[in-house]
Amino acid sequence: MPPHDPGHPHTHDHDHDPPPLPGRWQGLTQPGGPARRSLRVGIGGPVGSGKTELVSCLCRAFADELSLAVVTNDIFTREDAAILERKGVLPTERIMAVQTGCCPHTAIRDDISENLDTVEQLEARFDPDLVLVESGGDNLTATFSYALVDVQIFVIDVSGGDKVPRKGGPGITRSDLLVVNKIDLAELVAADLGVMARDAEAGRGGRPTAFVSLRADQRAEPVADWIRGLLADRAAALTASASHGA
Amino acid sequence: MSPHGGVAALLLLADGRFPAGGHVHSGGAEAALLDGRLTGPDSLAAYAVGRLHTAGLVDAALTAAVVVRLGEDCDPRGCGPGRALRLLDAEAEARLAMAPLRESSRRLGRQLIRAAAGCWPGPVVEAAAAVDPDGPHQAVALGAVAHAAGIGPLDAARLSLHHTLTTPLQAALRLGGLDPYAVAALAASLAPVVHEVAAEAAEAAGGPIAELPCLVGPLTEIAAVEHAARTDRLFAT
Repeated sequence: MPPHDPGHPHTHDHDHDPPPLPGRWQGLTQPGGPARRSLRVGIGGPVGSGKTELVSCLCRAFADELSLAVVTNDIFTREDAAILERKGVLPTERIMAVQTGCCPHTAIRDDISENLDTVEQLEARFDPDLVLVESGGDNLTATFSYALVDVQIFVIDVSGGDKVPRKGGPGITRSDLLVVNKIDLAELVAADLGVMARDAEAGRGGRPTAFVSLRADQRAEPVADWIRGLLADRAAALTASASHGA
Repeated sequence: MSPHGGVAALLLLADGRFPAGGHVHSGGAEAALLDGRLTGPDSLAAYAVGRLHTAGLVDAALTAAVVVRLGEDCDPRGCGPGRALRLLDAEAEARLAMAPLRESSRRLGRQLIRAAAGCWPGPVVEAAAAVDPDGPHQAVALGAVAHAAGIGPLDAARLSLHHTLTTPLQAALRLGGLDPYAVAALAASLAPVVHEVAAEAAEAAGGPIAELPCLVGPLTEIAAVEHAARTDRLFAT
């Protein structure tokens, strides 16, 4: 898997002025203020594909490396919070849950108010390097607004069948990273990973796809590495922007 | 016709698609469904009428009062919109007895300001944003945005009541599996109530600030506190 997607708006063409960081809020509260430091990563995907599991794996992977905060969208019960607490991967105060009024996709795309407000609260309080925004489980058309997140990951799993990448939908085709989870189950459900890889590549315009078994890889290493690449790029862009006197 | 928008702006602000965070609120309907006060179309109608006459009137009068005061505030002393907004924000605070409702009112206020800042930029919206570190109360934000968008006090009151009415109806529709056509018909049938309460609110808005309506539905407010503590809720309020 390439370190990150070369086709994403994070282009690093510094021939002229550095490009503004995508997704940055340039509203009333920060007029011309400094670019925020944190990288915001959206995690979407159908119910049961492994979004919460990916969040806990990433918390574990970055525990000694980064300052982290998490926003979850309903239905985030005490059970989910307890999973993260019990695993000791993230202090409870760094996890905030928002309600989406039965419309998980609206809350990450059409009206991001509640999520954005919560992300900003966490940023103000903890100054994190990384904020993960986990969507409520939804269908293949659910995508994040780039006013809420800088990049988005879409999580599917092989037990839905190897036709899912071919079916497409914005989550599959437009996400910055497609994660195919539960590859350990492929044989049991007669899913052909080769077919999934081929269809994903064909439909995603060169954007990367990671095949993982989060049950076996409890640090989601391919995903963590992809995020490390983005963080390095972001740090470089912020430095360049500072040296331009922006 | 206002150069800023007038009726067109009013329609934009009344549209549930305007991204001001309202879609995650139920106006107490989720709590009422969970504790058995809302059971179907009849109780939903009664609930909506009750809300319009209590919290709806309070919010609408505050919203309209903000529009009235901002209209008067082009004064030679040049104290700007900030003072009137702070006074009315304090009145709104005093009318919200329950902490979760105060908190969500400010949250909705700052979310509306965020959405409106790009639509009707200027000193009024900026002053509203600066009223409190957590943002203005929702009614104050709506009044400030209405003024900035060229909407008068009576229409601002109607706008406020439109949201008071449609918020619990839409939430009950989603949570209760109700007939969407019946819910739309219910909303339409309550237009006379909206107009009646809006007129009352606009009239009060011209009077002394401290005498603005102050009505609560105690059961709704207690239920709101219990609702805020639940972890299985789908709506913020």
